[in-house]
Amino acid sequence: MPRVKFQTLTEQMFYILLCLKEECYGMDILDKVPAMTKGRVHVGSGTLYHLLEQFSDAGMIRETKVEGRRRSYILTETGKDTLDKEYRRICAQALDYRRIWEEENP
Amino acid sequence: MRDIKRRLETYSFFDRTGIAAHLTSMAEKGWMIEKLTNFGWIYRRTGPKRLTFCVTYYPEASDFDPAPDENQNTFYDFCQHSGWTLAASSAQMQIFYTNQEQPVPIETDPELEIKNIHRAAKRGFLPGYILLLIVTLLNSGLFIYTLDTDPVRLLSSNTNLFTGSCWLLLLLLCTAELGGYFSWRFKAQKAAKRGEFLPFKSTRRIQRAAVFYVLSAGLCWLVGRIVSGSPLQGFLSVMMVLYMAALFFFVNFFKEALKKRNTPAKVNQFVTVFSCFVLGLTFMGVLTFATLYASGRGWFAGKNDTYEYHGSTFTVYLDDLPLTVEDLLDVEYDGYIRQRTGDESFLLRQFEMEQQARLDAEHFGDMPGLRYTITEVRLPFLYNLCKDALLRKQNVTRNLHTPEGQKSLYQPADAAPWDALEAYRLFDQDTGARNRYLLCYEKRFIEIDFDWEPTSEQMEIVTKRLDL
Repeated sequence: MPRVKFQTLTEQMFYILLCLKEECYGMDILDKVPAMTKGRVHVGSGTLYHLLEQFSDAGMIRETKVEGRRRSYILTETGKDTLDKEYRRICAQALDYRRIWEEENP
Repeated sequence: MRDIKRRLETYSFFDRTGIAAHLTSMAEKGWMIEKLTNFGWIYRRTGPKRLTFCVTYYPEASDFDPAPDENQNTFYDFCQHSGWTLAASSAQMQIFYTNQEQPVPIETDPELEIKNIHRAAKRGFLPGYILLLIVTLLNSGLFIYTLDTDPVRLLSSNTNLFTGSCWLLLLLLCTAELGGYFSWRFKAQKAAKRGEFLPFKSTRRIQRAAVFYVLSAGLCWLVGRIVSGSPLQGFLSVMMVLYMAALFFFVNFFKEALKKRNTPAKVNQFVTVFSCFVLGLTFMGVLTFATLYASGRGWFAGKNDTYEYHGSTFTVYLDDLPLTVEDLLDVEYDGYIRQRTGDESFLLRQFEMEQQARLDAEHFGDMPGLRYTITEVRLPFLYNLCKDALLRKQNVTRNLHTPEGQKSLYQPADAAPWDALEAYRLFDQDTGARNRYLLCYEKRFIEIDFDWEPTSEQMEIVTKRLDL
């Protein structure tokens, strides 16, 4: 069954949105994500470009500034809600993980 | 030493892994991709380099864009920021390279990449190939229909065999490309859910074999037509090749010229498609007119004389015929026209011989004529197919719209006087026997039409003269 768009976020989506908590140039996200994750997560330039387009179309981010070809974005309320929902989902997963292992090894 | 190399590359539109691997290998050999054109891919000599190539797709781009727009340039900026430099592009396909040892790929989300490829395919590859599939289906269907209804004409003509096989090959390629794409997409979507990128199984070798076949068979066909065809056949063959080349060249020229003049993509697309139709029809019109004009003036008559009759020019063909009216009858008229036409291939040869008086002969209506067709089977398994086709052509095809009672049908006749394996004589349902026969020999079929009732002596002469 196809996944409903943005109902759950991939790791890359999650960190791109997280970077946009503060206004940021789209291109700078390419450096921010690896820095934020200590090099664990990288976002491809093509992937970032297309995701920014899709987030923008879905109203999850909005364009704040255009300087030549440099555009900056910031998270919207919708984006924040999606990010919160994803955070809670990940926490629930982590909680389930801990509970299962603690039950086996009390 | 050349610094520019042009190669005809045969990669599928979505074979991004195959293209990237090939360009990496070319760069290692010292050739850097510079441009993708409809006349081949252009490489520049740069000296051996260790580069990594990546092929990605920008769905909004078009082959008719005068230059990348702001958004596309932003996309390039993103890639440049990650260390990827644009090497070349063609419509939606964008080719980047980097000298980084372990670069971050341009696409890091397989599901998103598949969606992008499909969006790009819907704008270029898919409509083009679906249209081509329809055209190849129609032409291949016509080829197979002719193979069923008139196999002798089709199999005895190198032109028909060449064009027919090209259409079938194109149909096969189209199906392989479209089938390959959808099959890859289906599997790639499944793999993407597991976070994997699925490479495409390249059809490059099949495509290269097809191009090699079309070029070599086309060259053989052209040389054959020029060397052993009639002057008219040679002229038409050369003109058809020039026609295709000129059409391809001019349509591309218009498209590129409009791009250089910064014409909007939609306008360029319309003008290019329109110019293709207009130029195609114009060239065909000019070619038809020139052929008719030249034929009407006897330009293709070679060394043959011509004569005028009621304002039209007729050629006095004096071809050597194995059997003539003079061999069978005592005629004093020496103004006969003897024409031999036909075609041959490695499967069959079929020649039609006709002898008739000139139209300006004093007693034209009373002058006996002779017409016969020799069909020679070069591969034994085609014998029965040809016999059935020759009988069916008369008994079914030619009588298709003739009411019952007025049909002309071949009926078995005595083969002994002809020294043949089988003989058939044409009978009109309303008027009785006609002097037309179909004679079957070991490797040949003779269809002969007399203007008189042949005697047994004449039948014997026919057998001897035609070396049967």
